[in-house]
Amino acid sequence: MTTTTRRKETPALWTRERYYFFMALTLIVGLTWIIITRVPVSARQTPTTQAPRPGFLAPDFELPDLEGNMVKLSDFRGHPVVLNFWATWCPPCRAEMPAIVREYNRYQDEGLIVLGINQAEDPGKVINFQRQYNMTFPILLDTKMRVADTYRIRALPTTFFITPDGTIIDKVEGGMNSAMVQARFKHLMEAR
Amino acid sequence: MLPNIPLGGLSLPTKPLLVLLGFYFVLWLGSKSAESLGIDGDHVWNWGFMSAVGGLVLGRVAYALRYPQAYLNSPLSLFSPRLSAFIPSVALIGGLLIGYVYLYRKRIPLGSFVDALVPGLTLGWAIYALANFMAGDAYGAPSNVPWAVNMWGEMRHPVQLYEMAAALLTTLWLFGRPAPRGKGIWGWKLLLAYSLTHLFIDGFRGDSYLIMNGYRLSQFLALGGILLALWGLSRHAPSAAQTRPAH
Repeated sequence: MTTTTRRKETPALWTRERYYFFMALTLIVGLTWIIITRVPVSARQTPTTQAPRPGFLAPDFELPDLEGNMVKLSDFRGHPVVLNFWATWCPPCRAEMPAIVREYNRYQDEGLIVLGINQAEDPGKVINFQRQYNMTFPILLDTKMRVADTYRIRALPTTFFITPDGTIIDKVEGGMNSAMVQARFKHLMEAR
Repeated sequence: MLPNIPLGGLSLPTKPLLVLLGFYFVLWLGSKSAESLGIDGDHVWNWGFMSAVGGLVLGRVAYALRYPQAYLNSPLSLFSPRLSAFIPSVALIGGLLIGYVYLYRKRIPLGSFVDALVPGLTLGWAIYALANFMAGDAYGAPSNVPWAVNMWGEMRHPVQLYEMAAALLTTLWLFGRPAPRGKGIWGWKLLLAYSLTHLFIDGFRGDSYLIMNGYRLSQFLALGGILLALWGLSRHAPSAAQTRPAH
């Protein structure tokens, strides 16, 4: 036995005109939501939270340099700062160092500070490396790798670019080639 | 947050791995789905490869044009495999254009192709949101809602998880009441869901790109996406006159 069912033709729920109506409604509701959720002025000012990633204040630290003088990051507020975490045994660190030295020499008269943060190595070895690569910027000794922990360093080299107000604007994990170094330094100097 | 996965002596970055996995799923599911729409599945893999490579090349060229002196001094740097030296927006738009040219040359109907990609794209969207949560990227604004998560030193909206939930809800919506496939309707619906999600959720983001006096650029783009999707869907809908019963 067969049964037949008659399907009742129902008008389409979503007509073209209904879509047009929803387009107009979306425009009004959407714009209202955008205005409501606008970022307030107070939240657009210099960040107040410290975190090792772009958009946040660079976490402050204090480390000794090769002469034993204590150097504090926040002492350089007002200058663009590049933090380069490196070690002598790391091939990409060696590869990018000449370009970093070159860019430091180019911009140091404009106030650029580069801090090379060595990772737990013998100072004698570090001094030899410094001479070999003509590094004239301060080299800090992170002997217990506490600053590396604070900055969540997962690979060497890692480089942070910090604006004069202390905000990190860029972070590069791994070695940079010559063009990248030049481009990133230029970007930092333009962002002052 | 789990930005790195420890594996023996290695530390593997979570986000790039998940992004690669998501991209693979988009193409794999897309190729299966394309076969059912009469499109050779190999076209999906070729399209994915050409769009990705083309996008990366264009993104790198755009970066070099942004810093011409750097690349004139060191032209070989153009061929560096480092992904951090490119402009993502140019890579995305360039990749999509190259993908479109591929489809045009192979005479593959755009609507059918997009519909074939939708199941994979929805899954890829959820995976990408998860990748952002793991890496702490695309993070939320500070908040004291009970479900806020501690990220980057503050309690924040878990916007990445909101987005993941939206991707899963979109899957239910798309597959719960499936539209006819092959006409682009699935693609328009996914664009609608994605744009609605970002219009709403980006209001809770903590890292938005701001324009004018604190307005979020992504929300304007999302609003444009919604209007475009509704217009696209309206083209497949009958007019009110057509639906009136004849007397």
